[in-house]
Formats: sequence, C-alpha cells, structure tokens
Amino acid sequence: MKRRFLLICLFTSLAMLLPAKDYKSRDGGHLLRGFGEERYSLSLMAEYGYNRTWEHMGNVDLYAHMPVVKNVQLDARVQYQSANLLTGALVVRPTFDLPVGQLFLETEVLYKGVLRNRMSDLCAALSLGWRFDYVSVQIGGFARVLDSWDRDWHSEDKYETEPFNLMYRLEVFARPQTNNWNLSLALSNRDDWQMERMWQPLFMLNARYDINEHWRLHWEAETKITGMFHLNATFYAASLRTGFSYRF
Amino acid sequence: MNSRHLLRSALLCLVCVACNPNYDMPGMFNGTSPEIAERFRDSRQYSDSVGVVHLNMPSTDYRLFICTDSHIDTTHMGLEKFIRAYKADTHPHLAIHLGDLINAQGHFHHADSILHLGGVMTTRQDTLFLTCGNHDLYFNQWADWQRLYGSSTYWFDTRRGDTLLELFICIDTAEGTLGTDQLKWLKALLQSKKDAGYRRIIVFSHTHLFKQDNSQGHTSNLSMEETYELTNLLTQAGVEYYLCGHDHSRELTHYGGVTYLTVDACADEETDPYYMVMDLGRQISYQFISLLPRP
Repeated sequence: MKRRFLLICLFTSLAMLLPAKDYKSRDGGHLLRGFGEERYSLSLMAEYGYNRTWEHMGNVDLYAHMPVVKNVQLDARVQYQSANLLTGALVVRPTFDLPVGQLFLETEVLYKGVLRNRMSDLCAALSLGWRFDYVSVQIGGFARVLDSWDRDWHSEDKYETEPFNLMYRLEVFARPQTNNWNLSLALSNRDDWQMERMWQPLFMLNARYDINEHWRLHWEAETKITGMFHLNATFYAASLRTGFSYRF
Repeated sequence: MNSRHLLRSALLCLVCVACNPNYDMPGMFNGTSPEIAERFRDSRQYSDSVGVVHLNMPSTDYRLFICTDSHIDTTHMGLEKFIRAYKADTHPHLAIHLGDLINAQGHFHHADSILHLGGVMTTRQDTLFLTCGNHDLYFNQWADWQRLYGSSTYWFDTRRGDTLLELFICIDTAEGTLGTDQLKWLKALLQSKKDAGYRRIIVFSHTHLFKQDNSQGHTSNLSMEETYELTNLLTQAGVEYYLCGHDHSRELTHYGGVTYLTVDACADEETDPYYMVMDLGRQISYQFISLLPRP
C-alpha cells in the first residue's frame, strides 16, 4: 500500500515536470474557456427555488470573476433570497496547467446571513480539483461555524462548529470546453451558494451558450435529496437558475 | 492487484451489501415507507382520534427514562435492561424511546414484546412514548409502526392537579426533513403553548441537529435550511431541551438557549451502550447509565 502510494506521488511529480500543455486556442481564447478563467466577467442570474422548509422563493445572484494574475483567479459572489437570506462568497483559485488537464486549488469562504432566523453560517473550504475537457473532479473539506445573533453571552450558549465536513464535486460535460455551448451533469454537496453536509447531495444539470465574444447565457437546474444513506431519503429542494455573463 | 481484480472485489462488495437483509438499499436512496407528508397525516388522524394524553403525576418531581437506537435484531439485552430498570424504579416516572427501535425488517414483534415486559410492573401508571427512527421506516415498515404505536408526531403533557408541568412534543425527523405540514403544525403548537404556563417544553425526535465532532460522515441529519429554521423555532418558543439519538454517541451542546442532547445508543452491538435518566423538578439533573455488565 505504502509503495503504491509512493508510486502515485512519483508519477504525479513527474507529470508536473513535463511541459504543460499550451491552453491557447487558435482564436486566442483559452482551451478550457468553459470554466471561464481567461477573462474578467460579471454575471447576473435570477433563480426560482423551492424547499420543504420555506417553500417557494426567488433569488438574485451576482458573480464577479477576476483572473487577477496568470493562473490565479478570484471569484466574488453575492446572493439575495426572498426567503430572507443573504449569501456572500469569496474564492481564490490558483491553477496549474498539466500535460493533461488543469489542476486547481480552491480556497473558499462562504457566509450566509440568515436574516429570518437571526443567525449566521460561516464556512471555510479548501479543495483540490482536476479538470479536463469532459470531466472535472474536486475533493476537499470545509469547516462550519453557526452562530446566533442573539447569543446570550452570560449563559452556557455558544456557537456551533462542524470542524470537518467532506466536500466533493464530480461534473461530466457533453462537449469539449472549447465548444461555444455545453451541457453538464454534476454531483456535489456544494454549489455557489451553499455547502451542505456530506450526505445531502445536490444533483445539477448545467448548460451554457456563448452568444458571441462577450455574452454568455447560463441555465442551471438543481435538486437536493435529504437523508441519503442514513435516513429515509427523500426529495428536499429544487431550483432553476438562468442568467447571463458579460466577459470583458 | 490489477484492475480486473479490483472491479471484481468492488462488485462482490456491492453484492454483499445489497444482499445484507439489514440494508434497505432502495430506501437509502429513495425512502420505501410513505413520505413525511403522508406519515404526518396518518399521525394526526390517529392522535385526533385518541386525544391528547395528560399525565397526572403524583409529584411535581418525577423521573424520565430515555433510551435510543436499540436496533433490535436477534438479541435485546440492552433494551430489556432499560425496560426492567424503568419499571423497577420507584420514582413516579415515564420513559421515552428516541427511535430506531428495530434494526431491519420483521423485528417489530420482537421489540414490542420487550417493551411490554410485565414481570416487574409496579402499581403506578407506566407510560412509554416512542418516536420513529429511520430504521423503523426502512423496508416500508410504516404500516407496522402505525399499527403498533399509532403516531410519530404528537404531544403530551405532565400535570400535578391543575399545575402544568412539562410539555413534551414528539416530531418525526426520520426522513431528514420535517416536511412542510409538520413544520407548520409544530410552529402553531409552539406558538399556542409558549405562554400556557408550562414549567418547561421538551422536544424529542430521532435525528440530531448538530454534530460537533469530526464524525459528520457517520450519520446524516437535516439539511442546513431546516437546521436554521428549526433551531430558531425552538429558541423563539423557549424550548429547554431537544432530545435525540441517531448518531449513537453522546453529545451535549447549548445553542440559542436550547440544550441539544444526543443520547448514546443502547444497542447490543455497541461497545459502550447507555441509557439516560433525567430527574425533572424545579431543576433538571441527568445521568447516563451504562448497560454493560458491572464488574
């Protein structure tokens, strides 16, 4: 087992030393442009959501994607839910071009202000991913702190922590990333606006269409099952999201 | 080990897991019992037909026996010890089982016979309340549960003459969500009882809301949205305790003025099984009793 692990490490290290693939396409764009990393962009999305707790809601999502220096991207996201919930996230994503695909390391801080329940949910995540034309995989962990805004400091009350939650994402694409449209299926316990406990998977169907050099259309559908594996599993939530991006 | 070997091993594992009568494989992906909306409807129908239980206690100080996750299969040592201890106790008391009474299919008759052990009955009124766990629902066993215990969502209270003591509310969380109707019912009930003059309100259910240690992978619980809503609801209503099981290991935490108490499993296969005894009076005190044989 130990020898096999060493071999994998050695293989990965050697792969790192090989000349990285040039991800420039003929038109000067990035070959993995489906992941949107080559240019600054702003996105606006509108969302309809349903869950068994709050029932119907409408959400507005705003994204900023900033490739600050070569191979380092910064994402900032804000969402307002009519269920009286405000979410903000900041992501730093260094990428490493490999002979095959691209490795990325993601550090994310996600804050949810649950205005209706006067509490906050703060998550900090670290994950490692590897993305190719047709597949993207990501695995890592995150910690969570839940805190009530009305905490009585003179009582036994305290904040709630979940020191380690597993985070995973597997996405399969129908077309190569160079294509001007794509469809993907994803399984994960997180999306842009939530980090769920590991047994609450989200199933996502995503689509994009690049209208031209600057404008991109998005369409996303998502469903959440609750209680998988250790409870009497059932449907919990669904959402439909659509919007556009402007790439500068 | 080549890839063919690996594939064979994985397939063998899958077949073994699928053939294990204790795993309701379809139920783990899509519950085989009726979903919460239907169970809630059944439960309310039953509860409305039998009425609310008001227990008139002989004293304002009494004892609550609590056990959970007995996972009755072929043996029942832990549950039997708990039942015998509960029935032999001389304090005025009641008992609560926090779910997962049985492990797999076809064991309700076995578990139920243990709950009704009569050999050590005392003359006072014995009362044991149950909540439904995920294992009680696997293999489409809701009909069995309902036939034996009637309801998975109900409330009862304890009184001493005209003085209200505790309000107990049992909610069904065996699915990882309360569902829209049950949540509305709970909100309305807590709203109506908040200022009724109860000494304290105790909510009990199967599934834990928090898990602070690193064992998140061990057991699933409620989604985050439901956790936000439910914890806030319990805080706003002045609930003092939320009692649950499901995780098999003990955890005590205080959040928003509510004490969340996850009780250890009392199943026979546990290396360290416990049950809990809670003394309710003007103050509350509790202890955890080991089910292991004393040296």
